[in-house]
Amino acid sequence: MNDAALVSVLQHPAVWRGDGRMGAAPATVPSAFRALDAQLPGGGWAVGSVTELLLGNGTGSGELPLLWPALGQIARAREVVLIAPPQVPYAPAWQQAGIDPGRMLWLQPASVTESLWAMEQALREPACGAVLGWIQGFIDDRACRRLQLAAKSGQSYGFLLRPGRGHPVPSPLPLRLSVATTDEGWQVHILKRRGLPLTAPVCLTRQEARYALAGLAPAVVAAGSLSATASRLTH
Amino acid sequence: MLADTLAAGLGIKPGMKLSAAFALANELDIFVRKPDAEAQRLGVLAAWALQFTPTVVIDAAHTLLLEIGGCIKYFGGLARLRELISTGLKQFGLTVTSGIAPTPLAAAWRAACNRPKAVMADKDIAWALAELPLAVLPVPDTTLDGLAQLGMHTLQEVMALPRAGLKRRFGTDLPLLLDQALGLAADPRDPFTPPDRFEYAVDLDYPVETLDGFGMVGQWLFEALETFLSGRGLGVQEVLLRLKHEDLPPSELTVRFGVPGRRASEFTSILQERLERYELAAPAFTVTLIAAHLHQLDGMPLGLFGHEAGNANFQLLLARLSARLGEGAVRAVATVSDHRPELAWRMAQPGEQSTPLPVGERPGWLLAQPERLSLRNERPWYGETLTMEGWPERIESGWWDDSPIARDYYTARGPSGRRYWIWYDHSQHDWWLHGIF
Repeated sequence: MNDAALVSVLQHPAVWRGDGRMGAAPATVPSAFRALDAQLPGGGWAVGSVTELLLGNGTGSGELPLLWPALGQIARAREVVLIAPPQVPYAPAWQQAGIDPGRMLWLQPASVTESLWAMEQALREPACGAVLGWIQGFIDDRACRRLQLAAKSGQSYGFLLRPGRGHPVPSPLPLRLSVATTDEGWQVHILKRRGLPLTAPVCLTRQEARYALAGLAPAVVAAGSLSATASRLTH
Repeated sequence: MLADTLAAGLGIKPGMKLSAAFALANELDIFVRKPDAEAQRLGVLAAWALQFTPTVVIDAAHTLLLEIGGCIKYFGGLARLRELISTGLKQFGLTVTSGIAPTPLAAAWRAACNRPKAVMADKDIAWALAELPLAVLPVPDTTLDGLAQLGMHTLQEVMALPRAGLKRRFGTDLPLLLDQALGLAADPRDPFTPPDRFEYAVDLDYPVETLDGFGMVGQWLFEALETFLSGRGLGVQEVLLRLKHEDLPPSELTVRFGVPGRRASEFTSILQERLERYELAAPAFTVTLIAAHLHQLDGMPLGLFGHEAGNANFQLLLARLSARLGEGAVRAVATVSDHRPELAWRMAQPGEQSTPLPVGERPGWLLAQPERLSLRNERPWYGETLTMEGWPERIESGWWDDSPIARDYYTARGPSGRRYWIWYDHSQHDWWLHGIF
């Protein structure tokens, strides 16, 4: 059977594909990293859902370069809420990244319970586009489900940022990633996603991050290995 | 003493002694009249009634006089205006009788006798008052007794008497009253001027001991506040709840709202969040709501179906968040045009605009307190050896004020790949960590 015939067979609605990612694609905002978008269900961060991001090196593991392009998109129309960030979000840098500080809200609750409450409230509010929560300690399934439901009702993008690498602890959140720094940039492991699991890490370079922020998508960025060479050449 | 229908059925009559009434039915609920609370409520209703007419008079004997002659057309006819007023009052759970007449006294008397038919022309007043009983006259009991002895039962009979004789027999008050009611003599009144602050106290028969109970009292007070504000197109942004305890000094609770508003339901939801962090010092006997500053709320249409979407909801979220997390926990950042990195940002109110700064690459995270770095093998160390990348950015500024700096900023990288923003201080000759990329 040739390829064209195979494609026409696969397009038949009765054919179910094992990787599951081709099904009803959720509405997403692209992460602006080609290599990552290719692996995320729906091609980006899903709306109305909470994504868990594990920071392999703690603060500065690459969470900001990873999220900034998407946050810039979201902040054009809606608010970005930061809950208990580990350090001061430096306004000039966020502005450079295309996120208007006037669209940012910084909450510093006194405890984990209050943080979870604030995150749920913000997620539930349609005016808040993205809600980023730096939540320490253990979060039980019930709290995760509450956040997920709140994100769904507010149609917002939730990000739960926690220290650690691949957690053995299961979580009901549909998308879990871990990010860590490498020499060239960052390495993203997709720990859990809807559909086929992905074992190989996605490598992102600083070059790609610059392009992503600028909204450019040069051909060289398309393939991870190629862009890695490119950035080595420019540095 | 007054009795409702059920009590009257058991033989209890107005004017009976309490002990005699209990002898007839020992399960009586006795409600003591609170004149202060009544006056307070009437003041709120007068403020509410200002939405219909600018001239509202608080008359004695629980009567509000509204001068509606000038505004009937605006509200689309008398029937419609009456309906607006009576449905509004019904929502407050009040039983109201009304009367309409060209003079205040005639209107008040007809209302007191529950004659709702409107009297519109001056010539009809005499006819409209004719069959009212003498008891409506605000005169001393001796005068009423005197009239009764003369065989008078209705106003018509009194009005028919010559005024000179009445004056000789009962003093000047009675004939003047009659003339005022008929529109023959002037009857000037002081219109109600609403206070520029709102204060409302509830004395509780049973002290509130729980936060739930307190929340209920708060809701009730907010409803009174909404009534007061809605008449005048006003809103409040901050209210104070003062609780009086038996043997402790009064405690106070300030509740702030994001934007001026007047919806009792929104206030109540914010109060509920605020109460999460509040503890009653002791059972409270009196709860007072004080709104010291009233804001104009004109030009801000309130949603037809409750909440309107968009910004108003976000402001409400901000108010809820700061009520529960505390004022300082809800903040935003803004840029400041200054070369010194630690002064290039500031805390701001949510929504404040920032101007982009023409600066080089800056880290997303800034340490609130720069951290001094130790040296290992002559290289700065922060959990790992830091290697400088590229050329430094020299920032030398602030010589004109108290915090001059002379620094070389580097982007540094550790073996883990993490990138830091560090500076070499030219005056102290040491390394500092200022930010994390």
